[in-house]
Amino acid sequence: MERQEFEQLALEHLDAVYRMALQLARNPDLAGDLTQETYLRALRSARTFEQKGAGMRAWLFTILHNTFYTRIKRESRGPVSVDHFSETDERETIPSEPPPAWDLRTLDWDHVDQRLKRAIDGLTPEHREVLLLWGVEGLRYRQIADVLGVPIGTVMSRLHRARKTLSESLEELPADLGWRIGTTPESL
Amino acid sequence: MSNRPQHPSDNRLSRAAALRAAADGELAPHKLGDVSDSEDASIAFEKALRESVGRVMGTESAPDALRERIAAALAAAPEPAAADTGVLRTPMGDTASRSFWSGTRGRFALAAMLALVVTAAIVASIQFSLFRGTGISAAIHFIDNEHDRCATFGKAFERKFTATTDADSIRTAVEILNRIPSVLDLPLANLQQAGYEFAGLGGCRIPGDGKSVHLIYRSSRQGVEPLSLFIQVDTGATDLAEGRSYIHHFTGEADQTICIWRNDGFIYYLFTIGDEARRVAGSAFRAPAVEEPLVL
Repeated sequence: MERQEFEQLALEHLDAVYRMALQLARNPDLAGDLTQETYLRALRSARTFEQKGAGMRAWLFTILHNTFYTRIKRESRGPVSVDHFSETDERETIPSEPPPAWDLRTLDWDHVDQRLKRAIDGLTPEHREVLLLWGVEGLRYRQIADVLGVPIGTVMSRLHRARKTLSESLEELPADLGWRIGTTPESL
Repeated sequence: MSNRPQHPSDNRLSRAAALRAAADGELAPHKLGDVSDSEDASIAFEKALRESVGRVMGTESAPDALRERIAAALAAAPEPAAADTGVLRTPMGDTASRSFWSGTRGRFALAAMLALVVTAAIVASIQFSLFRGTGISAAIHFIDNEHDRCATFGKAFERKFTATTDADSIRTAVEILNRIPSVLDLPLANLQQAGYEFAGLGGCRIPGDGKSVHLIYRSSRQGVEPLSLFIQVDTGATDLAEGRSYIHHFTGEADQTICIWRNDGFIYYLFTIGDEARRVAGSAFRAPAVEEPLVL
């Protein structure tokens, strides 16, 4: 692939890469720097991309992920400048609690979105990351596992915990908004 | 729990994990077996939750300034190191034939070649010193990319070109450049007669210290490409002489050129495709008539 073609193709995914950087860094300036570093690293490794033949977007996410956590490790030796993040125990199992059974007809999605936004802000970077790859970028579990360099079970586990946090945040909505838990359309 | 890795197709997944995997399209519905109403509602909820996450988290887009900064950084970055360039290097012994280089004729040919090389090196060094430290190569690369990105008048155009009227253009130019470049006061009748109409003005970030804007003109004539004029505040970092236009022809694209000149405290970069566009726009924007090739 020619350099110009590579740059053009890579820049088509800038919005997605920046979104992810913002979710990780939680600061527009840091996200901008992280994104730029990702692109420069990508350019330096352009030949690797050609050889691997993976999708450009997932490949950029992988570089971004590695860049971010390399920074975290580097900075952890000095003052911490980004959100605290905790290592997930990779041995953790997929929890078995069933997903909630909401009655979707009663949901006020404006309120849901506001609640979700706050809940997402409260997640750890690694949970936000997996949520973004799943919910916004539409990646499959296997692709997410490749991007993050973790087993597929870890992806499912993190995703479960992130979803559970979001579901719990919705449970706090006042009952007068018409929320019902554990009901089905047929039971109304 | 064994150490065996879990996977959506793993039939030992918990019912809850299987429901989520099915909601995510990772597990075929028939593998779930009988699904109760409550489980059906759970699957529907998980799908709706995913859509909602997409809505909540998917709205951010990269700021234009960042896009331009990264494009410029990429343009200025050196070529990636080649693990294997694929270039075959011929051993010197194969070409340095003793029989050819021996004798008077051979030595004369060598001297002539050396003279040519020295002359070319002197010309190149003059050109290089003229633009040394200006990042002119990066600027040209950036402009080429920016024009291509915006000339389709798609999403990139809509995001970047915030000013689409004369009044807005002047206001935006003043905001970015702190004063009005003289070209914005020109009547540009020739340009309009040639079928070009102003499409928009937006801020951009040409490599270098001076702030810059990008104006783009589209043609009403079928098959005629748009043209762009970039204006950058002249910080005095270049050795471009006033009163002359420096023309850069893109390799392999003979009719695609950038014409650069310096005037009234700004550096102008006119990107055109086609000789007529260059002639008409150059004249309309008062590019100096004295031209000099710019070889990078």
